Amino acid sequence: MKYLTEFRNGEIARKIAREITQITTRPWKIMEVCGGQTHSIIKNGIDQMLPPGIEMIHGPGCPVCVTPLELIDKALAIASQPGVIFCSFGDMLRVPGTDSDLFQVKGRGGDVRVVYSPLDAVDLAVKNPGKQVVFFGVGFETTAPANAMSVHLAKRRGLTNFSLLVSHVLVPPAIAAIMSSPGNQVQAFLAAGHVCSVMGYWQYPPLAEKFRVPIVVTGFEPLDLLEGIRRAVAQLESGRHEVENAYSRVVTFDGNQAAQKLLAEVFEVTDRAWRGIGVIPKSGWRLSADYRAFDAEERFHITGIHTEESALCRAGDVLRGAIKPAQCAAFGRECTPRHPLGATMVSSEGACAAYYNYGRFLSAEDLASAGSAITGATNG
Amino acid sequence: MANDLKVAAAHAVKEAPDFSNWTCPLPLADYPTIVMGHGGGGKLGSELVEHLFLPAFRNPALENLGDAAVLEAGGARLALSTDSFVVQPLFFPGGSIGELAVNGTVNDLAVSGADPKFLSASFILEEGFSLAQLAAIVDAMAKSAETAGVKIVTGDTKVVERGHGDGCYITTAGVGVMRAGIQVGPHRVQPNDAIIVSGTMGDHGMAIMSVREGLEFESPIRSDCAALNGMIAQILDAVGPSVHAMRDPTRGGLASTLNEIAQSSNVGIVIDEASVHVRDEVHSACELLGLDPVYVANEGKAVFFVAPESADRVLSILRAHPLGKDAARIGHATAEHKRMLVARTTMGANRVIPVMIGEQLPRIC
Amino acid sequence: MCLAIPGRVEAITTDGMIRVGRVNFGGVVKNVCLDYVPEVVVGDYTIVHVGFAISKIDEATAEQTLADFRALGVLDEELATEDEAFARAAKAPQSRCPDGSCSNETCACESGSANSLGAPGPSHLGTGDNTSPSSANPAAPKP
Repeated sequence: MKYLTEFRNGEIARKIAREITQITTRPWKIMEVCGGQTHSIIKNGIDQMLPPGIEMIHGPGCPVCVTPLELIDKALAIASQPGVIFCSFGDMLRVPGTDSDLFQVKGRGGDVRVVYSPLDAVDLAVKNPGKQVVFFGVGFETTAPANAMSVHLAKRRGLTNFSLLVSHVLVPPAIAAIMSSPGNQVQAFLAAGHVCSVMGYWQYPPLAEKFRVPIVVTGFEPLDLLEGIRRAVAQLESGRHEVENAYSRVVTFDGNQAAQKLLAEVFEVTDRAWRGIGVIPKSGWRLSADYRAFDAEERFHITGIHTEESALCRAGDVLRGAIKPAQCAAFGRECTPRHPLGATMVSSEGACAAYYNYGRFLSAEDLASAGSAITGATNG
Repeated sequence: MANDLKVAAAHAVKEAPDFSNWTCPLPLADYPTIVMGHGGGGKLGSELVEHLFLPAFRNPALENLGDAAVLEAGGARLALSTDSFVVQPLFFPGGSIGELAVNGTVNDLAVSGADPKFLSASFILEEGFSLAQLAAIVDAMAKSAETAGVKIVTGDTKVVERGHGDGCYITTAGVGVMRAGIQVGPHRVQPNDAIIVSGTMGDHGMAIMSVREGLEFESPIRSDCAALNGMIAQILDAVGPSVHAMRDPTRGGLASTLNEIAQSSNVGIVIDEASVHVRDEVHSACELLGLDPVYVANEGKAVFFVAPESADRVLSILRAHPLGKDAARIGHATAEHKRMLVARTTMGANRVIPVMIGEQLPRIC
Repeated sequence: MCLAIPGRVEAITTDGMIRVGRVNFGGVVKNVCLDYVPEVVVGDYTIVHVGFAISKIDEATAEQTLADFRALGVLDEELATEDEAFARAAKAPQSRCPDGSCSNETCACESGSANSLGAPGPSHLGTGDNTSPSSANPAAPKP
């Protein structure tokens, strides 16, 4: 696939890794914000290719993971109602609520549907005028334009049976919160490339300045990630703290103006609770007054939600980068993708899921030595 | 009268099984109803087998959990296998539920080391299902049976009311004669055994997904559905005793098959991802849908676990056969990291490919 | 959810409400909403996320980035010391087969077996990249 496969070239990847090794003189901790980047790092073993001093700390860039438990429980309540078609992206299906998840609601007869695009949900509303269609609008700035367009189109078509259950979260406030939290060890950021393709990176220079951290806009393929890491290390080694764009084939400083225009019309900034982290001020989007009529929370008035997280789950610590998934006592035992205690174990962008699905329950040494069997030793 | 029926029903349904006796620490109690994942060929499905079916039906022939049961009856060694087909959509590029129903069971017998001989075919049809479609399906079954050299000798037809079935479900059961001197089974793989696949991975699953998701292609992905007994017979004729295990990687794909074998034989498995062939369109479709080709179903491929000294011979026989042109050696079994499947990625790093949890793709076959 | 992949716009129409592009992702063709990329025309490449194009790919920049990557380390290799050259040679592959038992001539990975359906030959898992095999182990840190 053009503009994808070339950025997975193993030989070039190893070259960039060698460069990083050559310029690294001290240990550094770098956070990749986006869960998609975490998955790519773990799946491709990028972290195995870095010199021992460089540690990747996995950030809270998993919107599914940070959707508040209360909202999950509300989603379950709405999806359980007759006459409702509840639509969401695939990985929301098994995110644990207090008692249940969407998968189980579906198993009990709820009309829960996985869609590829929010426009599919609008289509369902047009085709099912007798039902209320609800779309679970979860995501960072990358997904917001799609959700904005779906609600905008629903309004233009005058649909009365379409609504959005909104939980949008924003990256720059999260970076600020992480850098401000006591015990923070992050020294540089890889900013989320596709979030920046929408928003540009004009929001980051004040952050780089205030917290004196290098911020490198980075893509998702192995070469992009390694290059982003290389530039972050180069800055750290030379004491700089600037904003750089290492994903320039897709990201510009100003970002996508057309998208930002509709976003400003459909959404407004609000405080948001991040599951496992707490409330981060002005870190989310909700529907603006003009579009409030399409807000599912207002339309459905769910009450009586009593939330309770698992006592064992340490998703919050994982999301803040305080621990790696394998350091959680429940990892791989009480908590697996089959039986998740927290969202980070089921989301396609969750760090715990990445570690589990790509087999990171072997220690680093064991995993590396498994390779001795592959490179030709016939010890059997 | 209605009351009597209700009482009878209440008596018939036992209380929920007592899960406390089950050895698995995370029992089915979490999901007291069947979910789609139970049909996926992954961990959920195998839990159902281990904790519900096995204990109830307990007998040695069943516990082998191979693709077919190997039985002794009247002095003959026979293999018996059954499969149900609930694929949606019924017709897809490269085939239909008809071809699947015949080839699926033929292949299960063939990879168990048997020559498939006879099939039964049971149909559950939904009221209102098109007779023209049924005729097309039946015709496909007849042609597939002829190609495979098997006869469909008995069957059954039931009809359910409109809305209680998806057009057509088919169940086939097959009987084959075990080939003399052949002992294959998921538990027979040894460290150093070479692992060979007969062709490209992921074709069938992505052919189905392309229809379901409305994906269009420049060159459409066609299901690889095919009967493998001819090709397998050639392998067994040439190097029979060297073949320790064979599997057709259907639901759950290559990764599920390799993990199952690793568990059954208590060996580790190592593969080189670069050597697993995937068609460009399949690769692109997987990329688009966020799927991993190693977990995607195949319906016309086999995985062989052979003694290393026979690997080259197996490869050349496969590549000379129309169904094995893209055969490749992809890895080997090892005494290290037992029960675990490790892959070297194209980056040169290692990753563990775990057992799939539920279903990646529902109703693929 | 940051899953966004590149595709080539092959045709542009409208469904009455939005601008729709037929986008080709490595052989898979899908309809995509182009309202956020009004500057995109047929033949352009774009990044698509959940059915929406969110950015045009600047092809010149992409090619330059790849060229920069390929140029990386070239100078380094030319100036390599004897030790490094030896270490590199020691890690060069003898064969690609996982158990090292086959020669390059018979190795499946090297065979250019044609696809019997006439479609392009199968790519290797995870990439269509057919660069020559190289060492599995990244270079150890310099002392």
